[in-house]
Amino acid sequence: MKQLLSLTLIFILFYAELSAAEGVVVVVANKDNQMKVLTKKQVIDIYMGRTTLFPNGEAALPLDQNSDSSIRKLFYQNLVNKTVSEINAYWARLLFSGRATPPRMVESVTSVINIIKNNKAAIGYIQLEDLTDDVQVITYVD
Amino acid sequence: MSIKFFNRIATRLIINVIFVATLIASMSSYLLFDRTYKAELERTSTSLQQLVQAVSHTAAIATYLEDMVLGEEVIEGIATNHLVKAVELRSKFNMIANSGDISQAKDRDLIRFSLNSPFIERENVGELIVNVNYELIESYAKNTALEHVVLISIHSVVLILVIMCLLKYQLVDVIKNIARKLHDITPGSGQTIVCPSEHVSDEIGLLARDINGLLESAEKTLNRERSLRFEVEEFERRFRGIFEQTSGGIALIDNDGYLKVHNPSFEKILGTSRMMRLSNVHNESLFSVMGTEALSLQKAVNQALSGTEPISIDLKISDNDDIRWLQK
Repeated sequence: MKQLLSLTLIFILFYAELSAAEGVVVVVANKDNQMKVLTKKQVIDIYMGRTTLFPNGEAALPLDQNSDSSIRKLFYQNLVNKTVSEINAYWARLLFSGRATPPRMVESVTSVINIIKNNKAAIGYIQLEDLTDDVQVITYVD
Repeated sequence: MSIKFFNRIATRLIINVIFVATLIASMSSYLLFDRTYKAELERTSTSLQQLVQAVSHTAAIATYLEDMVLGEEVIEGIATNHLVKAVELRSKFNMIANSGDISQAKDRDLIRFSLNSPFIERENVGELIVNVNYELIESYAKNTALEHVVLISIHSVVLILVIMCLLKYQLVDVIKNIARKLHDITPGSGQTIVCPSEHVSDEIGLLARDINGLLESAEKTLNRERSLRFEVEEFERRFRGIFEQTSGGIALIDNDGYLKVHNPSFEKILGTSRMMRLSNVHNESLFSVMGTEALSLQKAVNQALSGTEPISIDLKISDNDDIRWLQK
């Protein structure tokens, strides 16, 4: 009986850990990027068009994921507490002023990693489980 | 029937109604003006704040991004409102978009809205400053309040006129009519007041009935008085006949013996010479013409005046050789 309870507990803990890992979004950049860490505010400023530069003055190329993807929904919810609709409305409002441009849309996680791998200015977001050695994590968004 | 103008019930009623109505209308107008003025100021200020509130999110985005184009859109949107004199949008760094000049504005005329980042709640990204045209707002508020006051004044005047007309036709004229009829009635003539048919069941009808009751009562009293006077006159006529025609002399004298009334027989008994002395020409008292019997007569009169019983005495009257005895 004790063995059965222990197994159940281990299973629950394992499942919870797995679920938690699925909810974690990481912001990644090129491994050669000098910026090793960004604050949440700095990520917000880059992704919401306030700046096109990293804090060290180098150009930043933010990458966005498919508009219907769950990772995009999760990223913006965790980053600025906004829904995808609100983010779309935000960019629609800025469409005619030309002051800021939305992040470049990329179709898949693989594409995100590939672009970052080959472009020093690129910055993107992926789920922790999709992380590879080709990119470096500069912040967690949770 | 002439009553002075200011003593007339209609005049006094109109003066009182006008005075009270003016007083109430003035107080109501003052309160209404004050209330409307404040409410209008509040309403206009609130609508202005709502307008700014509506664009504040876009203004926050413009200052967050330092987006001059978007900022100017916001500014123009606010500046089109006629209650705004000038407006300025400042970002935390170096963006300034404005319409009009707020530098000359007094501090009390400025409404300042602090703008926070649309993504980070506590991060201030700029300020929206609106120079409100309070003179215009106050002018609108005053005009609106005055309109309300004028409307309520007109309403009051119309109401007063209606009340006065109703009072005149339903009360004052009826009372005046009854008063005039009452004034024209001769007491005892049998005339009565005819109550208007529409007032038979109300207080006017009651008043008319009471007046008719009093008139009837007065007529009965007068008839009784007439009847009594007639009886008295009849008695007087009969007693006067007895007085004039009796063979016994009757005279009425005062305390001093002066003659007041007498009958022809009394003249005959006293004789012409004594009557001459008693007449208005000589105006002597009866005591003085009675000669030696004067004292007895005086005494008898005094006894008669002090007592209740009739006094009887014998008096001797002598004219030359003619001696007569009188019993009094």
